[in-house]
Amino acid sequence: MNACRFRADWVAAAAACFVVLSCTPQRTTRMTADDLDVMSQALANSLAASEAVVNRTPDSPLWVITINKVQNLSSDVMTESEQWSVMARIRSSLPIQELWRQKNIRFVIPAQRLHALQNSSQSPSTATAGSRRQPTHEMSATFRSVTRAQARKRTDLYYCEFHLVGLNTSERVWSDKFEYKRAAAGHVWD
Amino acid sequence: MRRSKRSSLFVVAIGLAFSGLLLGCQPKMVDVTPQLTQSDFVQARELIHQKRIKNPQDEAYMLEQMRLGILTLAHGDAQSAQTVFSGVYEQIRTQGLNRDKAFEAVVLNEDLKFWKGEPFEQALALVYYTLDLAALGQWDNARAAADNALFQLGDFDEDDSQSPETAGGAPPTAASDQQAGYATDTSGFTLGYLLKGLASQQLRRDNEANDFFNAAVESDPSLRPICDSLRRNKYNHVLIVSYGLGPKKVGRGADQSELAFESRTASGDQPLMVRLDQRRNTAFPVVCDINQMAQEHNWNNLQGLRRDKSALGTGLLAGSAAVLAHDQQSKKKRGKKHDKSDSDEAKIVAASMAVVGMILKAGAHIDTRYCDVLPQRVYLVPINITNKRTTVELAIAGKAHSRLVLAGLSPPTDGRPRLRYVRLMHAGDAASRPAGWATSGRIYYSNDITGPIDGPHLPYILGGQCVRRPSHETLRSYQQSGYLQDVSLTELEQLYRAEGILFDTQDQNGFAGKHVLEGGRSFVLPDAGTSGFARLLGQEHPPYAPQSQALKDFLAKHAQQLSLAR
Repeated sequence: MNACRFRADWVAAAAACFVVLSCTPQRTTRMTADDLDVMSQALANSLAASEAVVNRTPDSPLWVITINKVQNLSSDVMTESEQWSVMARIRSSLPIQELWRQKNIRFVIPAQRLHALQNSSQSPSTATAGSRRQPTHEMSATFRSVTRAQARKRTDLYYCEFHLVGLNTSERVWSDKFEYKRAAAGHVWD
Repeated sequence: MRRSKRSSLFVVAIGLAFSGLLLGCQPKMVDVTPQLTQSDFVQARELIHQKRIKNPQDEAYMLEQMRLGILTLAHGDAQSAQTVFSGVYEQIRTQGLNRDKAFEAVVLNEDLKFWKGEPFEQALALVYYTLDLAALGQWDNARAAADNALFQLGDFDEDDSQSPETAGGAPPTAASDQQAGYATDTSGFTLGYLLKGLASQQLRRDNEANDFFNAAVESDPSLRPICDSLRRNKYNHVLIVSYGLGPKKVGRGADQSELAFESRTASGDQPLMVRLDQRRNTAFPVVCDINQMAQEHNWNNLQGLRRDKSALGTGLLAGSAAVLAHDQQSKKKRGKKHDKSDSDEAKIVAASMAVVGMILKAGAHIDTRYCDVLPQRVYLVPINITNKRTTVELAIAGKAHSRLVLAGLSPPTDGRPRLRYVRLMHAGDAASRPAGWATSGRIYYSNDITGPIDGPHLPYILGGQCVRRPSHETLRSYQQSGYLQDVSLTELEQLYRAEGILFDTQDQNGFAGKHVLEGGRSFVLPDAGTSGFARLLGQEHPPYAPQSQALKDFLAKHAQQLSLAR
């Protein structure tokens, strides 16, 4: 019995150490890849369950959605590849991929990417690539943030708004937002 | 030798060795002082790049990256500079980087800390990142970087028990900040305000832009004409022009424990004179004096500790001498009755005190590492270029050696303004003449930015004046000039490949090397409107020296045809 309790004490101590070690305070409030992953998944689920989409069938009129890269109005620098990857994550998520089959919705290559492809490639065939894109909707996103800081603490609250707009009607058919907070300890100048 | 004497000598030897180690603990960064003094930024950049610190765990890594990034942007290569600055940004955004080095910094010396720079150096690193992102057309990211630059000069209270404020001390309400989407600050950093305003304007956030332009004018009323010009939004180019060398960080006082900044280029309010296509001159004022920034924005948190260490070290050395002196006196007084073991003990105590004193004094000096490639002053020049291949002439009033002519600037085709960073030459006195390439105003080589020059076209590697990337179009122009009639595009590309020439920054691990015109292997050109572009294309370079057998054979085979070009 004593041996069991001894072992249990050690296990509890080891677990506590693990928790403490894994809970070391963060040193930066920058956005992380995990934040973008979680956010993309949540927003993909939201779009798939939205009123505009949930009642559609495979025979509904085709929606062709083009995406813009994220507009960054936050206090953190997001590289261009990060800005595109946010949209790419949503597009490649399982709920969104199901839309192709069940709701007659397609995502197409963004216009900026298409132009870059046409400009960079010397092959004549790329000149006509994407000629039947004809998007019907456009998805866009904007990142913002608010900062609170003292000498040794900083907190950034990030929130991202997504919109899906009909290109012919300019009507917003879906929008949602996602928030998360990042806190860091340690002197700002050190 | 008696054991006690050996012990004392051993203690002293260890102490001397340790002190020497502390004194010599400065990381070995490449010294480019001679190149900077001569305004040879190209050579300085080359040296730093070749001998750069590659280990991110090295204490001087960020300093080396910052130096490289600034000189790369001065060269006109914003793409390569971004690779460098993204790492610098990551370091600056990491808080408490030296938390684990606090003990070493306090007990030993500050050189053992990761270099992160004084607050003004951190802000300027972020300003350069802002310029780099703006030069790449990423105005949203440029706005974020400018925001961070202003944040770094915030008036942070060391007392964390006070209620939090937004960066820079603006009245804090989460709702108002969320609603407006931004918060202004009161750091007085006019260059930061102007850049933030500029970026906001490009994002069509006019209210935000106006607020930051107003903050710039409030901080420095002489900037009102520039801000009015920016507000009118009638510019399609913004030149950020820098001059001189920023201040040097030195230690003064006992054991160099007092922080001071010495000017290397004197401050001054001489305006920058700008002339487009030889029309009338327009004057632009200084928007940032880095000598002044260094005095106002440094973080001297260990000043008291360094002074105490120096004083304590001096005291211990004096005490050591006193112990020895007392021992000598005792010996004289007691004569033969003097106990030698007491004398031995005194020597060990004196030696120990001396050693500790030496260690404290050796570690009392300030960390003198600083970013030596920063300029002394910065100008901001919004201009509207209406003609293709416009020349823009820059010169600081009264400093003829600073004159620089930028050739080949054209109105942007996508309707978005261009931002360019220009570093003026500072070497020489008022009567010195600038280098030939700096004032030629000519473009000697056909290139992918400004297009073909007049005259027959032939690749530079074949003896001609063309450094455009091989393509169907360029091959056609060579053939229309009477050359390479029997050569296909594939064959031409193979010649470049045989020479090891690289066309893209991505092919060069994100950092373009020296251009082919200067003996390198890169075909990546600096942006038009930079001093790097003027230096490369504004002068004649020696003929190309073939490296590969394939090119040598080709030149031999087509010798008669190609000799016409030479």
